[in-house]
Amino acid sequence: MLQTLQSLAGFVVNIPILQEYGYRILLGIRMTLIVVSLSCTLGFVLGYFICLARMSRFRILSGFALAYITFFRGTPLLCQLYIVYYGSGDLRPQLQDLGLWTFFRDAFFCCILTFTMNTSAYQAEIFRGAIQSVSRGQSEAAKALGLNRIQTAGLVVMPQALLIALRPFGNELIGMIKASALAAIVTLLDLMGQTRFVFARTFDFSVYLYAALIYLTMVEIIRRIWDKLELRLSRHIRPRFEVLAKEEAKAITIETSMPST
Amino acid sequence: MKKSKIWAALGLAMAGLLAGQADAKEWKTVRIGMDASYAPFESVDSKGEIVGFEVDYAKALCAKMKVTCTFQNQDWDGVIPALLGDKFDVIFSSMNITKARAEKVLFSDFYYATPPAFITTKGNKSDDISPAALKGKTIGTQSSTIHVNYLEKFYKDSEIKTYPTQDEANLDLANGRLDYVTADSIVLQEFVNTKGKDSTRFVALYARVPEIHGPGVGAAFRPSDTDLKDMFNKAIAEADADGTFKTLEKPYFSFDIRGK
Repeated sequence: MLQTLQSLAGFVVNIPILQEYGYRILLGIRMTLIVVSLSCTLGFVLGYFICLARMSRFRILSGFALAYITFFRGTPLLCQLYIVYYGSGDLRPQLQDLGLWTFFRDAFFCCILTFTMNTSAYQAEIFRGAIQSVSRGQSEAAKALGLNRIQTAGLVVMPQALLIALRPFGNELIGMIKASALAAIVTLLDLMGQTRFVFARTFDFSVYLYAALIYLTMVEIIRRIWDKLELRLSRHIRPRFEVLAKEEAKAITIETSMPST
Repeated sequence: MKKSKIWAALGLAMAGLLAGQADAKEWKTVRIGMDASYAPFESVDSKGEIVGFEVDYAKALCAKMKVTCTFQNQDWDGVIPALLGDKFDVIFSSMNITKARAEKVLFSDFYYATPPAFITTKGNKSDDISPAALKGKTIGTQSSTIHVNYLEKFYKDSEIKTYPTQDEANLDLANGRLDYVTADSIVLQEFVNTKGKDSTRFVALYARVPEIHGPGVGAAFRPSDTDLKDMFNKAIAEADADGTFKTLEKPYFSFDIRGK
């Protein structure tokens, strides 16, 4: 019994593995963070333009955006990654002629490209949903005040839409962190890639447990940041008494925690 | 009184169960797991069936052991966990016997040993495969293999890329993402002769390094299945003695791969 417990503890806290391969895991975390932050940022910008195209009055433009969104949201990310990675390998002569092969040769860029396109499709729909949920009266009022279209979008609609979109964007970011593990399949040494490497060397399951815990930590940190962000950015629309009550509660705790004389 | 009788009955039942467990299991069917991306040893044909030398050889061994064998395809990275997790009973998949693996699984005697090799792209005219010559080059191979260990040890200045299957590494060489691929010479020769005919060529064999490559390829079992291991060892010896191995390898290889 004691031995079982001991071996279980050894499974959870495997010091030799951490000593020998800890650095590799750190490198993997770095790569995962780079891949996710890069593709989510690029996806945010691209997503905005796709959203504009989707809401455009030009039929061809909005049709193209709809097709793009439908494709990237309706097919598995792994399949998209294979199409980009191995598909570009098949088209090497053509890509070489265009001078694009140096880009596609690298697994890193293939991953960034695929993840960016994938997340931009989701983010475009988040944008669209948020913009459309800002009540029509807002832009009508802006018009009545004599604001032009750009002012209306930038000063009235967007600030409100972005606040609505904040939570779904956070979910998308979290989704990308988890989905980025697929990059390991096309030789990229992200957190999952390094984990697989260490496992191949040691045949020790606990590395997968560590990877899971690290992913969980990343996701949890983002969730907490998003909570704070939302609380802070939505101060002006939360009911006044709620904000007041919070401040009052704080004042009371300060009072009670003061030493009585 | 009654209670104690029930306890006694329970105790007997438990004892029976335990005894049953301790008894050697009678092997009637043996489930064989292999990563079928390693032609000509094992690959999936156009009908979706696993075929190759190791399939034929395993069937011959099973006939000698008088057991029914079934075959399962399993990705290489997960092949040891799947064995330990009772998804199948033996790995029969060109697994080289190494120290690190022997800590997790039980190996039979080795049943073949072939030298590893390098292949490269058609455009590359150099036949030098020394670590100095391959400095800065990108070399691909399958992950969780002895070939990764070999590259990590001797080709420190080259970029090493690992793939879930050998097919994908070969494909990336043909696509021009890799400068070299290393793996078992027979598997690479097969690729260069068939799918990689237009884009790749064979460079050179190299000698097995005993502490990395081990003595050769063996079947792998769960550590508790010593009886199954003994059965396989006996069948392997029989197949050597009566010429079964030689007959079976003829259609696949131009030379003897037994390595004994």
